[in-house]
Amino acid sequence: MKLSKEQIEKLAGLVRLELSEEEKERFSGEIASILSYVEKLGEVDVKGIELDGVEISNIYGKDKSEPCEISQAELLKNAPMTEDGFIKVKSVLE
Amino acid sequence: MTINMKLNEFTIKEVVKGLEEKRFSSLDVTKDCLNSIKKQEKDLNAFITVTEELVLKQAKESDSRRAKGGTLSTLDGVPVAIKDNMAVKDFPTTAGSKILEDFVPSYDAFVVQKLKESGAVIIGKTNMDEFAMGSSTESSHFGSTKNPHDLERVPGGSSGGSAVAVAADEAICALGSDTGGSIRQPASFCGVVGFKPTYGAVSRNGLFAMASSLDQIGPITKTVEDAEILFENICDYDKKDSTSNEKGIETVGKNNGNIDLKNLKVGVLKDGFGDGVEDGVKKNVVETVERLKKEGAIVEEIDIEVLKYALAVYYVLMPVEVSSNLGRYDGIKYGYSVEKEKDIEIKNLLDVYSKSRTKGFGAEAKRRIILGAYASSAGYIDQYYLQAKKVAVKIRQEFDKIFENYDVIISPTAPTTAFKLGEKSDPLSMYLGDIFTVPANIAGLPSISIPCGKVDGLPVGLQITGQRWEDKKVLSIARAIEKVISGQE
Repeated sequence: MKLSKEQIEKLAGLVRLELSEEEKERFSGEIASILSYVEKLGEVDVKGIELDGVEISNIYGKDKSEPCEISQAELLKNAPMTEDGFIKVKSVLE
Repeated sequence: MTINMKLNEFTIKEVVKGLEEKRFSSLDVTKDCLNSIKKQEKDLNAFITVTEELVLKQAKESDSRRAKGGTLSTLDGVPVAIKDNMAVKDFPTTAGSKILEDFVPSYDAFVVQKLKESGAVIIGKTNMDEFAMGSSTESSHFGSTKNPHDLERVPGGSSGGSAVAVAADEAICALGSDTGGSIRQPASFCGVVGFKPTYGAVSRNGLFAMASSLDQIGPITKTVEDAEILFENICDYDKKDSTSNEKGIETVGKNNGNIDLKNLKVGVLKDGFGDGVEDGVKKNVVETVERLKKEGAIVEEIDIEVLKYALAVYYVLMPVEVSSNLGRYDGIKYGYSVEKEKDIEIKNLLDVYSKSRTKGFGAEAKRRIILGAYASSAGYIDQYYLQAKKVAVKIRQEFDKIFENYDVIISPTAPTTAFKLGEKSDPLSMYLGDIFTVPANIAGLPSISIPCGKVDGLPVGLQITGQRWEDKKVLSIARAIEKVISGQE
């Protein structure tokens, strides 16, 4: 079951990737062969199997602020564009 | 320990003893490791970053602590290599990806913090498959790592750099991470010990997430005893990882004691010796199993029907989680960004995301991100992701039943010895090599690979897997089996 070019393009758009024509072709073949391998999961009878409460459940932190030992300047030093202690981004619309 | 051994060839145990007896200093051991790195890196490429001044500074600090009688722990002064997906403050941490090429963390991963608190010397950051995606270390943006047993072969992966650093005596020990075998398989290919602890035993805070329901950090060492020493240092509750399991961690300490091979109940996977397993691998593992029987172990063949779906489960769950986890790399907060490129036209914010990700990620990362998006998208999520989740629960239940009757399960770690660089160009054929390692990740089980002889000069690994939170039991059984194997050689 090969993925169509349109399907690959749609998926790439969703995950914010631009693919070359060559990549579209290659990925659609490779992904199809992986999908046909995992197809067999459908054979397993999973009636009665619940997905909730397997050993661990959600752990919520208290809604309480804690001091951060890392300074703002340190945290921002890896950001490509900053201004006045903020991360600067391109305009959302053209 | 022979007279002519260089200090970098020592185990943790031997280094600790020598330091305590003041026969040498941490600086001596560290310099020997650095020399070994200088001599071999051109061929091996096990490290992405080694910052000599920082390394020497740590060793000198350790020595001065010791001179004043104030060592922090038994590990004080021992050189450790860290896989490059764990944050080390002020050390570039790349996860083997172009997208993090210039990233310098402003904090330490929990495990790194633990090692620093124990006085260990962080010698460098090791090479790995991009974001730990791969079984050969070939997908690293920084070039492949080579297997020290044969430079034309892969070291395994994704923790290939850590396994090579230990196997080639560039470090005394190392940390790796294991999502589907990434500690155990390279340990197997390089002839060292690799241990994946129970899920929840070691905090992943500061580990760059690949597939969060499977990722676990663990030691790569020269002996099982060393693996235990390193594991004890990093196994601790951490509130910053919501899967860090306080109760479980408490019970780990209690499951100890020397294990007698006599009457040990060992399950041997029927498929562990089936088609697809190389004859040499089969032979070495079968011989060891026979030796265990002679030592009085009760060995029985077990067949876990649902395990034949384990790889399929893995190759659905993992990419779905990857797709989500790698969403954070968007060229805005940190990492590679096209905003810094002058010759690329950027129209808007969307362009920054797409172009940064497109240029920053390698082929394997892109493939898995897209596959994961597909398997979790509307219309397919029931068929793929949710079905895989349910089969995963079933696998876990089957293991629970097996461990009611058996102490451990034994199999080869990988169906083959180290393959040649470039040999597995088709992703699916690479994925199939994870067949024996993946189940422990799916069920959260502690699992260790120990050297089990060689075939044509290439190491074979034996895998020992136990029940959740019986890490210490698995380690002591591994130690007993290690002894049997070394007597065999």
